[in-house]
Amino acid sequence: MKLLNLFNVFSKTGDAGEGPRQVDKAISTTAIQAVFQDCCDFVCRPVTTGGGEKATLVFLDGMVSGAAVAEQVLRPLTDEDRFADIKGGKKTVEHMLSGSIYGPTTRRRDDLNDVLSDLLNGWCAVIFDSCAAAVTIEVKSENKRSIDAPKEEKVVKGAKDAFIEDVRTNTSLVRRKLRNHDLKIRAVTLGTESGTQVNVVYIHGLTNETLVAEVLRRLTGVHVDGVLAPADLEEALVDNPATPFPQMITTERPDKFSFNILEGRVGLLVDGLPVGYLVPGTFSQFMKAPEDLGDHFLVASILTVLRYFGMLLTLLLPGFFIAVAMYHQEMIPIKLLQSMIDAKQAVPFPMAVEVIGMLLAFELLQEAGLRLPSPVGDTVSIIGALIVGQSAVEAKVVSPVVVIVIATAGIAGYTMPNQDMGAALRVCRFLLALAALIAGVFGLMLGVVLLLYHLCALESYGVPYMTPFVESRKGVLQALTRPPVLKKSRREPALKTGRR
Amino acid sequence: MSMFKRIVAVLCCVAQLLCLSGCMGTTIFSASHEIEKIEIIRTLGVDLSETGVCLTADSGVGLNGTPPRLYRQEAATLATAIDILENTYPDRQPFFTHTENLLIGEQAAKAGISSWLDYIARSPSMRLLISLVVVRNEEAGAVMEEVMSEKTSVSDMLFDIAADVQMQGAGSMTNCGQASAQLLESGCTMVQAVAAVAANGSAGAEQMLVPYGFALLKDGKLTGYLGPELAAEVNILTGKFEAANMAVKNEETSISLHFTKASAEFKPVYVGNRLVRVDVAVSAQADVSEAFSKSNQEHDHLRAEIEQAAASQMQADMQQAIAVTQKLDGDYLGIGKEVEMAAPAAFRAMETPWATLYSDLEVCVSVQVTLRQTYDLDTPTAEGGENHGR
Repeated sequence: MKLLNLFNVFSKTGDAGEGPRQVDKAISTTAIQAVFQDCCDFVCRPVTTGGGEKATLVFLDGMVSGAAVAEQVLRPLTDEDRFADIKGGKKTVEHMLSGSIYGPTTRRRDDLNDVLSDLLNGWCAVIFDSCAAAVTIEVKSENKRSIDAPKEEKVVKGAKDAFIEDVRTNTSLVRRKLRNHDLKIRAVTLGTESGTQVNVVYIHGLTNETLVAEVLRRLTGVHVDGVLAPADLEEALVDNPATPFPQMITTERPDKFSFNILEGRVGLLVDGLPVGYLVPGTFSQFMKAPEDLGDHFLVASILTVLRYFGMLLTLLLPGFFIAVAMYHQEMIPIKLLQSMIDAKQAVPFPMAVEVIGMLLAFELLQEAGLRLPSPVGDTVSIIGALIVGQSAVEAKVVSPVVVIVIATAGIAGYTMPNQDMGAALRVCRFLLALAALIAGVFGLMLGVVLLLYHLCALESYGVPYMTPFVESRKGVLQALTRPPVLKKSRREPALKTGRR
Repeated sequence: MSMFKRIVAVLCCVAQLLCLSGCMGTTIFSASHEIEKIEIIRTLGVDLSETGVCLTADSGVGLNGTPPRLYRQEAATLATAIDILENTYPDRQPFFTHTENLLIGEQAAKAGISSWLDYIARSPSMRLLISLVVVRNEEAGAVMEEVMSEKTSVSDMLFDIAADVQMQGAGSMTNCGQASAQLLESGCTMVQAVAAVAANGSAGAEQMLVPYGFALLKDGKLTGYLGPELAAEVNILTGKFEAANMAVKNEETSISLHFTKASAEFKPVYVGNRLVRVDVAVSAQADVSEAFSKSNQEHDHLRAEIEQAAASQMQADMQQAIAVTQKLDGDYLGIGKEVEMAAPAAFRAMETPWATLYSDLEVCVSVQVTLRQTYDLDTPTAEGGENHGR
């Protein structure tokens, strides 16, 4: 009930959240100049209106379009014909708001904090000291990256647009896919220093209102200096920040974002981040790839099952190998065991050191490949995989079978559609390998049980993380496959959507 | 429940699990082996010794041609001998979980193998699928030494025998699990027998193992053998036939047949509650694999002659095999089970138990052999002239 009340409050006020610190002063040129003291990009220009009223035009250079300021604000404001009979600050303000200037959006501001907020969002302001009021006009600069193709979530078939850093462009991308007046976009300002705008996107009547209210409640509780990196928001909004498993779906694709909004999830778009967030995030959602909806449902289903197999392989293979090679050699077929023994004879390190060392080396190579520029990164990968790997085997530093096991586990890990999930699995892979090292298959199984316990204990906005595996057999089938679109009749029950 | 309480609960569960068998002891690491320090044992040879058991363990030839190694240990029991071997070589620890063969010397087999089969059944590191083989006329350890060289060992020879013996009609492998089950069920079992012979037939040459019929075990003790000449027929009677070659002689010629299919059907004849006879109807299909050519006009006559000669020969061999088992007073061929399957109610109502009845029971074998592909002996095709099957 409290949540719903909060939702209603947001419905009335629209904007909330902890923004920049408030300035308790009346609107005046002096006050604004004091706020933007030592800001070289702050422009403050005295202007006399066509009616002879003294005003001050202020804006942040670079945030606004100079041409728009000149054409849409200065030219009509100083036009004597237009403002000839308008005398006094109040009348001038009213005249400006009635359409005398060309800005697409104009607002009267009586609070200095609103003026500051508008300036920081790329508006310009005309200050009238005589009446302690201001008119702000939207004249945003168009200096932003053009809409590009997705870099991480590429598909052969499907849309080729991706989110950019500008939140308004991102909301327009979503609007173009969901031309529905029930699509609501609420703005919340976060970050005491950054004043970043976060937009909450959902469909009224479809999305569970409790979920929307909960998202808004959590946003109001975010107390950070700035929302400049994904972690600033993610760690504040998820239920369990300690787990390495992702709990918010991230995507750079507006189509995937819109699809999940249609499913009944709540979306978040952050100004400055070229990704969209979706909650609640459940385990099965991180196993779905964008191209699943572009492929035939049979192909997509097989690939989904393959991804789950890859997940098990990357998670369990190193640990299982350590367990059987150190504790349960009887499980290894005799020919393979003989081959392993022969290969291991000249290697000086214990099997566990080999596996753990190779896992670390694999992570180092991956990290180096990511940090370096693309051509150099590729070279490092090739050198690492081919030259170092082959040399290590030839020099009898590692066994060939260990290289095969680690490489197989690594490649299987790359089948994860979500990088956050892949990273979480890599962490668990290490822990399971250590568990296997300590107690063999018993340790491995114990680790798996604890992992399952952890996953089953997680919740994302009231939805069990392992949904739909914990719901029904049909749910499991739906998670492991991609049913034909026309056969899919219901949204996920766990989301408790307004429309089924 | 708070997260702290959950973690404590899980840790308590884990601590309790550590009390399970296998987790107790010095350290949890004591159960681990470095893989390069283990020596896979593929064949165990068991003989009698003054102390009790003389165990010979063979590692076989390594994949990269590593010469085989033999380990020998005497002890009161097989379990003790294995334990001692496991702890004697820290740098090259014999590892018994992949043992493929249990080779028993003749004297040891005569003394009884039940306790060793019991060890195999109970030991967590042994598998019931280990093939049980008896060495004819020799000690297992001696044979293992005789046949071992830089490039081969008894394990490799037994591996080859196991792969081919049924296809050659030279016998069939029985594993420890099957032997134990049969001994428990009927008190009798039959396992593969092998013998060491000179590789090229001359004295002093390298020795090799060859299948040598079947060893018959009653109550765990060796009672006799069925010779290699009867092996194919025994396979038919026991339902383990895969293929066999047979040389058939008639008055004029000698022909080699390759049997590809054969089966035996057991029909018990009861009078009241008394089993008076068991009829065994055997049908077999064969191809001619080598023969002296005859003119086409004589095909039908010759074909019937060959079929008849083969049937007679097989019938005689089977009757002989049955006679040997009857003489040894044990249903080693498992005929009782087949008879019971043919008429379960009548079998259960029998006046005299099968074990008592078998040694004096009349078992009549009839064999029908059909030649399929006779190549140059077959009936010409409709077009004439061409041989069927070529």
